[in-house]
Amino acid sequence: MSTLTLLASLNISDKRAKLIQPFANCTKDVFSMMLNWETELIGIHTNNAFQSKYDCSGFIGVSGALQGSIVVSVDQDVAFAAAHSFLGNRPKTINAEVIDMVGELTNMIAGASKDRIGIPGITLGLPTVITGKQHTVSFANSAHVEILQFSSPHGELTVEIGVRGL
Amino acid sequence: MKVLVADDSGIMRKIIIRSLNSVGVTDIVEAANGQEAIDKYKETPVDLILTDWNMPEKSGLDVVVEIRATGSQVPIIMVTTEAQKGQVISAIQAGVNDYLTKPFEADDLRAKLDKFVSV
Repeated sequence: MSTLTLLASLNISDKRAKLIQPFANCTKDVFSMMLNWETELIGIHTNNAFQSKYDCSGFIGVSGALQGSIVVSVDQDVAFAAAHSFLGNRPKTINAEVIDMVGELTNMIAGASKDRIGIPGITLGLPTVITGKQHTVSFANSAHVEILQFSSPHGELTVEIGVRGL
Repeated sequence: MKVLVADDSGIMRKIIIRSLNSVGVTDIVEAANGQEAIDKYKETPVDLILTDWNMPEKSGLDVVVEIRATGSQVPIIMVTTEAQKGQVISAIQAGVNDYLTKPFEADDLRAKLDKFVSV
């Protein structure tokens, strides 16, 4: 199902779609261009209605015209498969290279999406990566949260956008 | 030909180095932040620089400005997620010779390298 079809089927408002679409498209682009993986947007959730449980999450702080954070989460099988695609060898643990890779994927998804949102004056920080088996991510109640669920050839991943200022 | 690759992501440096290797470049200096890139360039002048924009210590733009301030005309390719027109213009005004936005396909990078690499 295309992003537009999914947005329409879920009755997503235009305001939400303007935030969701850049991240949906850029996530697909990053995985397709850098890893040669086809990903598909399979779910959209708002305001902590869905709590992902993953093993590795990349965070990037957002400041300026929007304030909050962007989080890209994967479980370790997806992380290992991505590391294999990038490096040619499959790690056995979440090591420094896996952490670096998740940070860079987060950086590329957030950076490319920022330019397509169409709001000038958004600044991104440097990525930070949190690891821990089956951890969850929560945003402050004051943030507007969109959680995008993707399928990939190696498992699911999520991109979570929690921002104020929309 | 010696090339300096500056990116705070080790994975991204490996991807770039793999592309450099594929066009015959093996003499490569790595830097994990902007200050390290400037220091390494001053120690060992290179024939081409590929630099990220957003890095700790000093940014890729700082790297370009400081290296151009020495009078160097070494070709510099900025490889970055920063894609807004104003940023591209400011990078070019600072002295960047070419610009590649992340994410990119391996062929996109190789095409940029072909313009500057002579082995």
